[in-house]
Amino acid sequence: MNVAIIQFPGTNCDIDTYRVFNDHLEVDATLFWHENTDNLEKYDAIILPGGFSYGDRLRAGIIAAYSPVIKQLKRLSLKGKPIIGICNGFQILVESGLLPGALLTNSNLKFICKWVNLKVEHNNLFTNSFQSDSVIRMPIAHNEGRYYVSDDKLQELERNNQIILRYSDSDGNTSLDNNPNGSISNIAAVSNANGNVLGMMPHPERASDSLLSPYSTDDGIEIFRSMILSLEVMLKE
Amino acid sequence: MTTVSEFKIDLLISPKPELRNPEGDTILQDLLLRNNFDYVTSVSVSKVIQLIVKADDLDDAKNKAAIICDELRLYNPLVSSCTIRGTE
Repeated sequence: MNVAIIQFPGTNCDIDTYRVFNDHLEVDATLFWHENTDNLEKYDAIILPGGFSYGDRLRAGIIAAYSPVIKQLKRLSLKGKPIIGICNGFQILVESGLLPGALLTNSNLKFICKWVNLKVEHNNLFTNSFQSDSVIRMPIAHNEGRYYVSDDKLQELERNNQIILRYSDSDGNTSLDNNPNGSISNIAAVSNANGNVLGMMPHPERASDSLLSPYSTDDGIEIFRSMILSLEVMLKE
Repeated sequence: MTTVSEFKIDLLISPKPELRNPEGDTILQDLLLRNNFDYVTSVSVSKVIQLIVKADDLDDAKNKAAIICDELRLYNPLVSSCTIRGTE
């Protein structure tokens, strides 16, 4: 198995993600520059890690959304290739139309960097290692994380089980008090309708080693492990 | 013979009114109203992108700017609107 980790100018969570796959999960990962025209089809999954692609100029993620690699991602997403966008990667997926909605400046106008509780709303390709309704912990670190969709689209996301993680308290209550950035309906992660593309503002790669967690947890690695285990099943079929 | 001139095009990118505009809200609540400028009822912060466009005339320049706006999503139509203004 081999996972491609896409690098843009300004990506800065690529090496952390690379180490999680190679060192912790013992899955081959390859750093893949966004202008590389090699076919991504040979990779089993694709990660868009976090950072500040193109310095967040114009709008976070918009310039990367017009990079050559995104054309490949659009094609592969239709074939069911698992794709995860983390933080700036999520912003790129939204700006490129691979995921619905928009990510706006946090409602308090500040860069927020803190650990948060997240309720696992649905088990899919990326969360099936968790029990349903689990509360997990990961850090967020962003300035533009206020997820927005229209009311109609929000209902559609609910109906299709596309809301994967919500900001919550430690008991799984998803009230406004537990919403760090003003995201509509406390949304922290969404998938596309087919469930093979995931965008998430929290950083699983920073929560994959209990040594790095103030709670001695490693919930983040389960996002990647879920995807790998699902892929192994899919490849056997 | 057509002469090509340069035109200054301003793209005014404004958040849609149904969305919260936290920067505008802060200016209203914590600057204007706090200092008794209570005749202001709403503040919204927008962004201006200025282009210098080579075109046959002002309408042509605006049309070219509109194409760029739409094709490269200089504004996000889900959350904002774009007004195109131009001068020679």
